[in-house]
Amino acid sequence: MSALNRAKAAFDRAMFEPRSATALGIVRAVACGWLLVGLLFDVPAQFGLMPVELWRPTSIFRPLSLVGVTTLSLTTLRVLAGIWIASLVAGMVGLASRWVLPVATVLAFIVLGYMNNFGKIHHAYNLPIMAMVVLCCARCGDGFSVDRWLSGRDSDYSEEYGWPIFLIQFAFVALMCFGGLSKVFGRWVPPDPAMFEFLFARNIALSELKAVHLPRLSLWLANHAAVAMTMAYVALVLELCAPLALVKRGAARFVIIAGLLGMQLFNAFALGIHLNVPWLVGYAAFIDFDRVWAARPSAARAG
Amino acid sequence: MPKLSKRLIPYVLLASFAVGELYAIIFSDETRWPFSSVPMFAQIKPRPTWTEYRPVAVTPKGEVNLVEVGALDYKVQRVLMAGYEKSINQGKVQRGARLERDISDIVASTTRAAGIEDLAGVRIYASTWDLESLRAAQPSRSDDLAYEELFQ
Repeated sequence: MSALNRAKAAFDRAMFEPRSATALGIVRAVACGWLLVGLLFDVPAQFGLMPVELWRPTSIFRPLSLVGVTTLSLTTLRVLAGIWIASLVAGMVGLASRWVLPVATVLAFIVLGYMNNFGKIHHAYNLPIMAMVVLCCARCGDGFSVDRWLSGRDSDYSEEYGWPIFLIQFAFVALMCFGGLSKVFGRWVPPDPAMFEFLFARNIALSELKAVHLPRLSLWLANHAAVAMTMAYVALVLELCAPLALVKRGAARFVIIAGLLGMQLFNAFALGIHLNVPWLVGYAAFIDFDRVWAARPSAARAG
Repeated sequence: MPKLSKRLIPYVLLASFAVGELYAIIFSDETRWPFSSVPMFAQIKPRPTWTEYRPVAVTPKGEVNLVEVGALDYKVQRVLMAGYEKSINQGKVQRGARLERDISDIVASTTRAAGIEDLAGVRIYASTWDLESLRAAQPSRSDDLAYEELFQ
């Protein structure tokens, strides 16, 4: 067996590892639920106010321009967002999942993708969108769902429930790793200390516009570029090593995922950079929900 | 063979994620969203000052930050103002241009929707922050009036 064949076999084993319907169901509930939480902070429907002069459609919206439709009105977006929220709630509890998830995914593309048609791409929703695409192609309503409760089926193990979780993990590590690669190939290394002073000082200026209060740590970092630079190097190494988190054995997964989570939480709470908070859904795919579910108090009592 | 057909969807999804992301990073193409390269602060160019356009609602009690009162989502304001700034830099915005009237209408409608009824006008400032002063925790913002519309 050649090295290539062995690598392919190992990759297939990781991708098609049998998981329980419950584990995938929990990931589905978290993915839909986290998008709903995101709507507490973002109002994507408000992009319906944007003037037509700023219309710069991305590839998925260009066909609309060909049929004479350009901007969507505030009312249209609000109606679509309303249906989307209802489908996300149904998706979260696992009601009619087979029908609801495709609706929620298409509407996610429209409602969230619409924000990108005015000259600025919002990267925050890349990962949740990819997760929704995976979930709507999978049997994610077979466990931890109203559907399962109504059918009375038992939760079973299958590779059908394993690959969707692996693909969400893959999308997550790919986004992180490519972010690191853009730094390496974008002449970011070695970083210029002035870049960090600029970045943190600009962050303070932006907090005024965002009307958010920044902790004193942010100001301290603006004056200690060496500390910020060290943290940035650690972040870069974590981003570049992210694919190692696909390997389940060993400590690499724990170290990388904990490090990346720490980095994103630090950005959000210490620096007020909430850009990638919707990406937190990616971390759910790395939690071993089979073990967590088996360890719940009622299961322990039954055991 | 049945195993291959069962595994076709995961393989297709995996390939499309990998190819889409690679395409985005190689060609720096952001318009194929969600396959956009996520720069994660990789393209920052240091400058001594930072300028942002910002709209405010004018009321008898003073000027109102639209994000602070919940009238406008910050992302919407940022994209709106970035488009406005780009139009000015490209020489596309003349006084009284349609874009400025549109922005004024947006500010007016969202401000009223947020419960502020005594709206007297709309202003857009080009606000510049001196980043050195900001780092020294000193006030640093200077505002240049870019557009003003006062209602009767």
